Amino acid sequence: MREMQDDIQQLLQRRMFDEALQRLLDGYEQKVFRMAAAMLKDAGRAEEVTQDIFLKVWRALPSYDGRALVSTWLYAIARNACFSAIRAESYRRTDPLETVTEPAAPVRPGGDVDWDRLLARLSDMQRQVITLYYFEDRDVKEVADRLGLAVGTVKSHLHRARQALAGMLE
Amino acid sequence: MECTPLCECEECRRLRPALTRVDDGLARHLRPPVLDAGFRTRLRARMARERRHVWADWIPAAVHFASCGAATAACVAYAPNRAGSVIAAAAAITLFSHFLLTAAQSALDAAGDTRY
Repeated sequence: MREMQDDIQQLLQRRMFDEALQRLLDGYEQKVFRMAAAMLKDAGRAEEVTQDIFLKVWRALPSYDGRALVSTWLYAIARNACFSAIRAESYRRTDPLETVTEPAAPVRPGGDVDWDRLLARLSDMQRQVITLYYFEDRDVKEVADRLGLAVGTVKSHLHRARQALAGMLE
Repeated sequence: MECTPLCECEECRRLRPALTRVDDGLARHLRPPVLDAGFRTRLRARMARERRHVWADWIPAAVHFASCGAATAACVAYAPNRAGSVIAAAAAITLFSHFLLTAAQSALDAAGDTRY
């Protein structure tokens, strides 16, 4: 991590922005994409937003001053882009009340669980935390970095989300 | 209180079987998505478009001012005794044509935006 930070700093000092972006893509494109997918719940939309994020990063590279870790800086841009996309999506998609139906049972008669339906019942933050937790192979620190939260806060969201899901299964 | 996988509080003990089911189920259900192989190609294409756009904004104005300057210099060389009025007229024409060029560019940009 430190090595990549130094590499990118050196490239930026030499004003080699395309090369710096290449290094960022090598290190972070999948991570940023998974974060967008966890936040937006749609892999196709997440890819578009990931493109927007790296385009923004490319434009902003000349003004990166190295005070924050490059990953912290990149994840902050990514989070803001995801929040904007979520806001834009919620403005676009408003269901009239008559079309909203009672949610179907998340556990089907055969005992199969509809996990998407269960996850949709969690708060946005709980859903994002628990989704990213499993995407990132149960690495709490990684989830905390990605979402800009403290490790303790992530653990607390995880605990509440698991308790809620377990309660729904009972 | 912070519950851990080994927590033995009443609530956790009661929910233990369901919590295990949640953990196993989500681990199977939430597989990390992988970016499509064409992602970087599409990103590079967008970056190239943006670069062209920046150049396209800058070039017409530069060409316009350079050609107006050259035309003014030629007119001054042709009629040096009326240099003052030639420069004043050239400045007025340059500004007016720059205004027309900017308006035409904005109209073209707006037409282009409506296509997407």
